[in-house]
This record gives sequence, C-alpha cells and structure tokens, in this order.
Amino acid sequence: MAEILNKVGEYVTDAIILTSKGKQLDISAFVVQTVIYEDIFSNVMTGHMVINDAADLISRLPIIGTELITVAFRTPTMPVTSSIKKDFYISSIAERELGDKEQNYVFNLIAIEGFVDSTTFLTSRLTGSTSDLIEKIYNEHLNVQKDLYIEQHTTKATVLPNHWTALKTINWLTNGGYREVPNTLFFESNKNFYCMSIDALIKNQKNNIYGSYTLTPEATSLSPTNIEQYFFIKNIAKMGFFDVLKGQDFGYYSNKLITHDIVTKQYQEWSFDYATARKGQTLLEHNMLFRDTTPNNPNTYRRVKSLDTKLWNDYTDPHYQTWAPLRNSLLYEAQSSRYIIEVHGRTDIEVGKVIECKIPKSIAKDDKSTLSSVLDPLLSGKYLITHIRHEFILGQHIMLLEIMKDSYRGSPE
Amino acid sequence: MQQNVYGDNGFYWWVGVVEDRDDPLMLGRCRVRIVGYHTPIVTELPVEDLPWAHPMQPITSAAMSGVGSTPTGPVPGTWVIGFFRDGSEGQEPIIMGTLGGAPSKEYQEKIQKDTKHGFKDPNGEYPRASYLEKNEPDTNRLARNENIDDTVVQLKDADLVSGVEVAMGGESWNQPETSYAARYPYNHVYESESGHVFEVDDTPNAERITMYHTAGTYVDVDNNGTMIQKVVGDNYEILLRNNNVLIRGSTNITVEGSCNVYIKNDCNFEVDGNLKIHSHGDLELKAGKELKLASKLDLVLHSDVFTNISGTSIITSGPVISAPLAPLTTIDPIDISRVNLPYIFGVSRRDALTTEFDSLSDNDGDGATVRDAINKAVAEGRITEEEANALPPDVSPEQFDAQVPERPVKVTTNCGVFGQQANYQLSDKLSKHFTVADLTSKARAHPGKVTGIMAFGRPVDKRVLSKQEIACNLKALAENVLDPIKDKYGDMIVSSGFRNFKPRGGATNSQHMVGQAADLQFTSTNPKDYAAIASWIKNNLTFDQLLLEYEQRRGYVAAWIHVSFNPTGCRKTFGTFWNHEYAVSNGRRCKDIIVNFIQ
Repeated sequence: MAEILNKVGEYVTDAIILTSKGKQLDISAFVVQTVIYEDIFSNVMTGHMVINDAADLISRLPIIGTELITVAFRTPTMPVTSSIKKDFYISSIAERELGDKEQNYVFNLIAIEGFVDSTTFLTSRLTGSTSDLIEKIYNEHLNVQKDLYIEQHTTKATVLPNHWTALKTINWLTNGGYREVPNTLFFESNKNFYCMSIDALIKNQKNNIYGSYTLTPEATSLSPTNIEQYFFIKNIAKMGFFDVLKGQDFGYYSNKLITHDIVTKQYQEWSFDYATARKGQTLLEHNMLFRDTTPNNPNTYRRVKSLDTKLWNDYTDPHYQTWAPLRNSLLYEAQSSRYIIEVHGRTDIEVGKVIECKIPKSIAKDDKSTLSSVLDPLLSGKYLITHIRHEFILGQHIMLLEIMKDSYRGSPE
Repeated sequence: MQQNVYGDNGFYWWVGVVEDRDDPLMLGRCRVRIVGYHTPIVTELPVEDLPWAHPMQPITSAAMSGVGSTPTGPVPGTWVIGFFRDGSEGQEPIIMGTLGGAPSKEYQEKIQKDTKHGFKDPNGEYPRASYLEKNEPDTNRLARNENIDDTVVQLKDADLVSGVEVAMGGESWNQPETSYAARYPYNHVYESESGHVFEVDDTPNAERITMYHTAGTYVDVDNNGTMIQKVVGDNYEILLRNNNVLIRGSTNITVEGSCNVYIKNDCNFEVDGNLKIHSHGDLELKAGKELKLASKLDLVLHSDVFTNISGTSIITSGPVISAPLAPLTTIDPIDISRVNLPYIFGVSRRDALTTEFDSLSDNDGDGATVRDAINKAVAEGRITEEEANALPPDVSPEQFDAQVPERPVKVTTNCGVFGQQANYQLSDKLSKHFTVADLTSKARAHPGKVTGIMAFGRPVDKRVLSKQEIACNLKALAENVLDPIKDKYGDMIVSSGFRNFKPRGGATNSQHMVGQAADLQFTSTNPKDYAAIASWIKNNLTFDQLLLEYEQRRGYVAAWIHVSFNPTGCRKTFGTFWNHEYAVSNGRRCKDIIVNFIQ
C-alpha cells in the first residue's frame, strides 16, 4: 500500500532496535521521545531518548551502558535514502525515575564513531597531504559505514598524535592543515561525514539551495497536509544581532599573529584585516556583515604561535600567517551570526545545507504589501544550516535549525 | 583585548628518554621519547619519527654565534625533563635538564632484550655495564668515592714516576701519589664519554682541582697547592710574547733525551752562587764574534791532555802568548800549548813597589834627585837657568810640577813615501824589526769595529786621523823606540800596538788609538826584571810616555811596559802603574796609592 503523508511533520519509525550482548530488541514501544543533534561544529551526531519502561528492560537485559541502539526515522513518502538512520551507543542513562509499575529514564546517545573514537588512540607520526591523512584515519580508525565527502587539498602536514584519538587528530589536521581553505570543518550529518570548508558548502549549493523558508502568518491557514508548510518558519528564537565589542575581543575585524621560530630565531608579526581578506572568500550573499570602516586594531587579539620549522627532518613550514588569522575570523563569524528557527521536520535535510529565509520587516503592512516588498533586507537571504535538533515525539518531527549568515543580501546602507 | 601568548594554555612539562642525539643541525637537539605522550613501541613510533627536542641552555651561556657552552651532553638513554613550547598540542618539546638515578640492572637487561621497547639507549651502550654491574647510581664514582679502583685515580697511581735522577748527583725525586680523598657531596666532577675528567673538589682539607685526559695526561692541584703536571705525549708550549718565571725554591730538570735551546737574541745568564756545567762528553763553547771569559779570581783552563787555543793570534792584556803571525793570505791555527809562561808568576805587590825604576832616588844607580830633574829640565829647555836658580834649594816634587812646565822635546821623523800610500798591507815594513801586522793585532782582533783591512781612518776619541797619519805614527814609534829596544832585548814582543777601541782600564785618550803607543812584554824575562828594562828605556831613548804597568790578577801579577812616541814632540814622562793608576810618577811616589798597597 502506498505511503501517504497525513500531516506535515509526520514521521515513520522504521527501527528503534536495541542490541545487547548480541541480542536485538525492538524498543520503539518504550520510546516516548527521540532527539538527534547534528552540527557542523561537531564531529559526530549525538542524541537522547526518553524511555517509559513498564517491562523493566533496564534490569532484565540489562542495560548498563555501551548497548547499541539503531534508529531509523523517515518522512513518509520519502525514500529510504532520505531516512535518518544511525547507530548510537548508549553513553549514559540519566534522569531515571522509578515508579510502582513503570519507570522513566533517558538514554544519552553518541554516534558509534564517537564511541569508537573514545577508545582509539594514534601514536604514530603522520605526514602527508592533510586530506589523505584524514581519509586514512577515517577509514582505518573510525570503522564507519557512511561515506566521507572530503575536499582534496595539497597542503602537507606533519603531526605526532600523542595518544590522540582519531577525531582529535582529524580536528588538528582540519584546524591546522587546511590552509588553502581556512574554514574547513569535519562533521557528521545524518546522511554522511564531511570534511568540507564552509566555502565549498556554499559554492556547491550556489544554484541548488535546499529550500526557501518564509516567516508568515499565512502558514496557520494552510492545510496540515500542504507540503508548503514544511517551508514556513513556525517560530524564530529571540536573537542577538551583532556584538562589536565581542568581535573586537576575538579579533574578528582584525588580529595579529606573532610567530617565533625557535631554530631560525625569526620573530615576525602578521597583522590581519578581515575586511580586506573577506573580499576573496565565497559568500552566501554579497554585502559584508560590518562596515569596512569599523574601527579595529590588530592588537585587540594577539596570538603567539610557536614555530619549529626543523622539528622533523622532513618538516614543512605550515605558513600559519597565510591562513590562521583568516580562519579565526571566519569561524567567529560562522558561530556568532546565527539564528534559530523552528520548522516542520523532514528527514531529507542535513546540516551544511544552504537555505533561503524570507523574513518580513516588523512594520505595519497594508493590503498592497507583498512579501517581497516588505522583506527585511538584513535578515532575509541565504543561510547555512549549522545545527539541527531533530525531535521525534508523539508522531511529530520538529526541527530547530541553527542557521548562519556571512553576508547581507541587501545593502545595509 | 585578548592575548594568546606562550604559557596561556598551560605549562605542559614532561619526562622522557633521549634516543638520538645526532642532530643534523648540530644544535644539541635530541630525539626524546616522552612518557605518556609517546608510545614505547618503536615499531609504531620509530626513533626517527620523534620530534627534535630543543635544549634549554643555562643563563651563563649566550647560545649565540658560538658564545657560551655547547648544549651537547645527554647520551642515548639519558632521562630528561622538559616542557612543550606549544602547550597542549605537545609537538614542540624543550629539554630543561637531565635526571639521574640508580638504574636497576635487572630492568635494564630486560628492556635491552626487548627490541620493540623504547625508553632506552637504542645502542645498548648506556647505562654503562660497569655501573649496572654494581647497581651504582649515576653520580660519578669520583664524586661518591666508591669503586675508585675503576677510576682515573687508580690509573694515575699505577703509573707513578720515581727515582728521577738529578744533575750533579743530587738527590733523586719521586712523583707523589694522587691526593684524592673526596667525600660526597663535595667533589664536583665532570666526566666525558671517552673518559676526560675535570674535578673541582671541595672536600674539607682535601681540596683539589684536577684535569685528566683520557690518554693519561693530567694536571693535579692538591690541597697544599702542590701541582702535578704529567704529559704522556709530546708537549708544545708556544708563547708569542714575554715570559716571566719566578722560582723561589730549587729546580730540578732531568732531560732523558737531547736538549736544544736556541735563543735568537741575547741570552743573559746570571748566577749569584757557583755555576757548574758538567758535560760527560764534549763541551763546546763557540762564539760567532767575541768569546769572553772573565773571572775576578783564577781563570783556570785545564785539560788532562792538551789545551788548544787556535786563532790568527792569541793576545792577553798581560804577557802575550803568541805564535808567529800567520801569513796574510792564510790564517792557520797556532798551537801555543808548549809556550813557557813563567813570566806571569812571581811578582808581588812588594816587588812592584820596590822596583821604582822611576824613583828620583838613585835606585837605578844614576844618582838622580829633584835637583837633577831641575837640571834636566834646563837641559831640555823646559826652563831657563834663571828660572831654575829661582827655585828654592829644597824644592818639593809638588813645587817642581807647579813651576816646571813639561816641554816636549822636539823630534822629527820623515815618514816619506810611506805616509803617502793609498793602502797598507800587513806585511808592510814599519821599521827594521816590525811590520804593520806586528803593531795592529789588537785592532784586527776587533774586525767588527773597523772597516777595511786596517783601522786607519776611523774617528778616534773625537780626533779623526787618516790611515796615513796613523801609519806614520806607527812607523815613528817603531823606528825611534821599538827597534832600539828590540835590538837590546831580543825577547821583546808587542802585545798591543794600534787599537781601535778602549779596553777595560784603558784611557779614553789613549795614544794606542792614534798609533803612538805600544805595550811590550818579554817572553824570556821575569816580570820582576821589567823595571830594569824600563830604566834602560828611560835613560837611553826618546819617548813621550813610559809606564811600567802592573795589574793584579787572580793568583798572579801581570806586567808590561807601555811606551809611546809622538812625532810632533815627546814629553818624556814616566811612571809606574798599579792596576791602571799611577803608583809612582816622574820619580814622585803617589803616597795615597802606596798606602793602599801597604794596607
């Protein structure tokens, strides 16, 4: 029988299987709420699951940690490939409430890769292209089935992980190795792993954004089955807009890198101006988030980077000055210009997607007003989804999207 | 404003083991396997994959352009402590120092066998087996004063030098034993890998400083300040400027090989006491120029076989020992070993004082008195008869000197063509008995002081005489004085004629220096009899000055007769000299000097 969508936000639970000591148990009947988080600033997905247990599963199985839970949620009518399917380990049990005939508790979940990572340590020296090294670590140490989408770079790095985990090593390589595209991140979406720069994410979706979300009162008047409802913003969180002082403190507008090479005894200062450097980056829109006349001083954020360009005989200079100051500003921007919107959930979405938001001005509108004529030029425009909180509860899939912007569509002046 | 500077993210210190020190940059860096950060499994993390840890250097070292001390020291296996310069990233280690301990033999043997295990010297050299064998701590044995038999102390004492012979049969000496008596923790020891050792030992009452080379050469300074220097190889000391050495005690130098001393400038050797030079073989003294042997007392030359003195002529300031002059063109050694030398003995002070050939008393039989001298002065035209009569009858010698001028007797000589020669040869005849060679031997003995074959023409005492003038003077002297003496006394020789220098005791205006004087000796005549010869000369010849000279030498009195002749006029003064001073002058005794003789 063909699957139908009864209501926007509806979902299908294809599986909630608990595996303990080789035995599998469908625990979907015990699950009250499932929340899954995905974030471009987090290496793996996490989540939690609220259990109402009248069968004393926790003692009979027993559940004492490290049991595997496989979840599979899907928006009806969507193919299996659009499912949110993931193996999690129970990392802890929290908020346990014992009743007379039943008990409630919470499984804190961590992606299996995160759990494996916590017990996997690297001790050998790594040298080579950063993308090659990350791919190698991903394949050899994280034991995952998902695909890794990785931007190929020629940057070479040498690192000796001092019993670092695989993900810590990957983060070091991502953080320090990708000087070609400084805002590269390693993250897991509900579909894949990515080692991609924000630049690449934006560039890849330049003509293919995920969708256009609108904040409009008309949403409430539409039929619950109208799939347009997926793209209405149900709610938008109270937001901050900018914080110039904080930006100064973190060297967002300008900063200074001081390098000192212990072998060559070279002391160098590298002043960085973001307004100038920003012009060469890939942006969601066209206009910078701040005036290029914003007062700034590189000394507002001074960072000393020790250098030892002869640390190994085959060591190559990482040229921190060419990317570290820019990465600092780019990541600050990505994390500070964020908003949270609530929308109906769909399982085909994932972090890293570019969306468009249409947000009208908070002004009185008349009959002649059209959406396009009243759009707020600073709030409306393209955004990048940096974080998704999927909540599956009582048949409803609700998503909180954290979205960031790096530019204004309209000119602020 | 935010800052992210060194240390902001914490101080991450560590401990590890040096596994490689062959720093290609030679900065003293080591590859260190760090506890907790690096795996001990060398297959996972080979030595060559360890980062180079930079050594921290002490504040006493500039660590710049070679200034300061080199940061080398740790060996593979050395435990070190340090920190990461990049904080929590833990990629850039700095070595702060080393950690000693007391390695367990069992543990070390176990990990050395485990080829996959790091945290050890990959070469298995350290810790040293000799230390492990006795479970010794890493602190040097010399600092602990334990197992000293395995240290340089034993090496030093096992090879002490003893019974070193001393010159002239002096008492031999022995090398002292080492004064090592260190107590922990006073002895500060540095020992290198090959075994060079430096010790600064502050042990109470046993303070020492030692420097020892692994070859066996060392310097020890003990608590008394006694220093032992022992060099087992060759020794080179090169001093580019002055050297000053003060030795308040005695010095023994024993050279078992040859000894060569080459001094390229003057060498002064002064000994307040006796100086003995004993050669068990030949002794050779050779001078490129003058060789002077002087003595205030005896000068004894003794040979059990022969005494050979060779040269063109042998001259003394007393009686002359001379062989016939060599031909002008060839100079052969002259053997005078058989020359009879009786004349240098047998003259006493008393002999000298009693000769008084020149006394106005009638010692020589001619009955001369002061009045005779007055008459003689009248006869020589020095005073008129009126002037003589005006003198008091008891005129004293002093009054005579004051009132009777010395009027030289005019003499003439015809130098003739001899005085017009451009050059003179030694064989040129001056007179019946004498040649140029006979009267110029002293000048020729000082070739460095003249130019040309003769000394003629050289400025002398501010007077510059031409060689022709000097030649004429010599000729006049020879003809007027020397020939008659030679006729009378066949054993007469000229020991000193023309001189181009002022000898010790000689006058600055000596007539020798203008060719007008000669010193005479008589090879077959006792010096006691020189006074008689002098008297004969005084009474029979015309001369400018006649001196009977005596000189006290160690063990004997030398005697000679000085006579001069001035072609332009002769004063005919005479007297007796004792040690180059007048004893008697013109018949008048110089009392002060005589008193001194008597005393």
